[in-house]
Amino acid sequence: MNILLIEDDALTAAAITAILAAEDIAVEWATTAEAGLARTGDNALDVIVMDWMLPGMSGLDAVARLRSAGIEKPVLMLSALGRAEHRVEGLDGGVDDYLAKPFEPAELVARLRALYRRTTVQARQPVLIHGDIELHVRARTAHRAGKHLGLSPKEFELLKYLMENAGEIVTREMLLRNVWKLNFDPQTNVIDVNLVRLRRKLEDGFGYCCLETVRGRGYRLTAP
Amino acid sequence: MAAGNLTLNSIAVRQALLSTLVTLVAVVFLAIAASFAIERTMRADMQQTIDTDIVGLADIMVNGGEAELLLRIADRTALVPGATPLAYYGLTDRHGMRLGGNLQMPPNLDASHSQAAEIRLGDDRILLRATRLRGGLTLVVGRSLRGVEALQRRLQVDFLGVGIIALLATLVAGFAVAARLRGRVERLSQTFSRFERGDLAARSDTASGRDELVQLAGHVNAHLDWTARLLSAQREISDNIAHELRTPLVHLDTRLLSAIGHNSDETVALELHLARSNIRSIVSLFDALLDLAVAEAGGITANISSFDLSETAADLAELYAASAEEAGLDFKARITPGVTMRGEVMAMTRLVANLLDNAFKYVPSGSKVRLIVADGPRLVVEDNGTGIAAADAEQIFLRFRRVAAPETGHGLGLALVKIIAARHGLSARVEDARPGARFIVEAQDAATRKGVS
Repeated sequence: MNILLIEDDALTAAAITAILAAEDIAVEWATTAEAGLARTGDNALDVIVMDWMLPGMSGLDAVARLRSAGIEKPVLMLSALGRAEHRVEGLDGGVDDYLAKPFEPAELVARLRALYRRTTVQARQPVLIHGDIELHVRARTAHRAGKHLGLSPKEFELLKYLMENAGEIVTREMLLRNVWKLNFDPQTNVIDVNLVRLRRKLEDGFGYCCLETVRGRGYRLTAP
Repeated sequence: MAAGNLTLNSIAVRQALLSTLVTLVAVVFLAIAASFAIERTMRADMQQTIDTDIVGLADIMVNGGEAELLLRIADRTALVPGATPLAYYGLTDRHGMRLGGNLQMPPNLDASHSQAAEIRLGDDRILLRATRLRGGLTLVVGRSLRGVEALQRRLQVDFLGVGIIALLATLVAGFAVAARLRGRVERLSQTFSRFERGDLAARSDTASGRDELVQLAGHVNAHLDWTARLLSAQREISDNIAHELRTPLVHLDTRLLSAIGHNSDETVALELHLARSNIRSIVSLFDALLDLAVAEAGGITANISSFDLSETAADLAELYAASAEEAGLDFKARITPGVTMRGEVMAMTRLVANLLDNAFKYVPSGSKVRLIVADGPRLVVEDNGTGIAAADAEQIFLRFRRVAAPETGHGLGLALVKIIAARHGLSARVEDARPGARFIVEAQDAATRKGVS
């Protein structure tokens, strides 16, 4: 995966580059929106990581310019503005995902991989298959080894998101935003218990399944 | 249509009706005044005619004697024939015996002082004057006021006609002005509404004249400019605080991460992880405080829309159901379908989530928690836990106030509930559910009707 990082703070940029290098992700760094925009035409580029408050043109303005130029490459906004309203404004402004600083390195990697995968064919297929689990997107039904899984609409969405990101870590915040459409973090451990419930349904009558908790990071759908 | 609701509540309509009433009073007053003026003028004229006539007849008496006088009186009465003459004459001798004239019963007037009076003769009102002539004769000359009355009646009919036309004209003109005025006031009021809904560029038209409303629109625009500047400045300040505070924390976090990477001592690693967790607590506290400040100041209101509160609550109920089961709580939602409201979906979602978080955090395992959504909208989260002391009922909605000491949270959740509710024209309060606590969010007027604030 190739990343274009537009970030004016050198220390943060160095930290991000180090985190991503450890995951074999190549990073190209630009310190201003103007310099970054000049490099967005590169076909090898997969995801853009953009700061919001940049000297000169703001990150949000840069995204608007990018979209109006017809460049649809996924953008992750990495910003010091972390309130729910900023997230909404960023997402409304055309960014694909929003992560507030300071962030967990694993969260950044997970978000980037999710954005990268979204551009691949797998995410848009009408039937998602993961081992013996089958998900029919249009009919909104799920089966394991041919046996119907009785999932609620939200559980279906949850499993779909996990299958779209199979093998990758998905964080609580990613699930809140993409499955429950919430831009804030409830105090109650709602995500964990919903994941536990989904795991029970996946394992009911089959034994161990594939939904593992990655301590302190999130969840991952592994091979069943 | 802007000027569609012309009811008695409208100032413009009341003004139109008042103008009509004033016109009515003015017309009536004018009619009465004109009637009095006519009567006064005509009576004075008649009195003068009577006096001139008396002088003339007295001359005749002096020059021609009694016989000549009677002849001239007969001539005068013959000039106005008919049963109801306009001129009256009477001549009596010193004993009061009638000698001539068309007055059958001469009035009892003091002729020696030439007394004048008005008498009624049948339907006729007559002005009279009596005077003493040579030889003790008494001459009475009078004029009927019938002419005056006829003129007054005609004037009344004329005034009635003119009055009706004036009233109708005032009414039509008044309502036309009222409709126009109301339309302009409505447009002014719409400017405020658009601004409140987040259109910070909404301004009133000030190019259509220089009257009072245009001047008011100018003041409104100046005020909106000022408010927009304040909102923008507040936004900038809060963004700068967030940015300037987070950047050193991000650096600190980065250095801690680097230290963790280079460290092999487990005790040190634990401390470093704790330090990172403290950084997250600081950031989340500042975010929560900024959320409160922005929500309280009005903040961004561009995301206002009509939405289904029942659906929002049902989604959250489903999300929290698993947590409730896990925590051994009996959690049920009783949601009336199709309860809609205007507002910020995410803010209202947060309000419901904060109330549920609050209930889940404080009730012991085995308790009941209920989420109720009804028309109004009325939103209730109640439990049968330990409840909240009456003395704390107001306090718990203040910042950093907690009824107990929980392990998590900043004590800002209920403060945010109160502020979000207020921004949506709703009140938030807690009452004793005997046992437990009942948090109620409902329309402010509904709460006022029940005598609570």
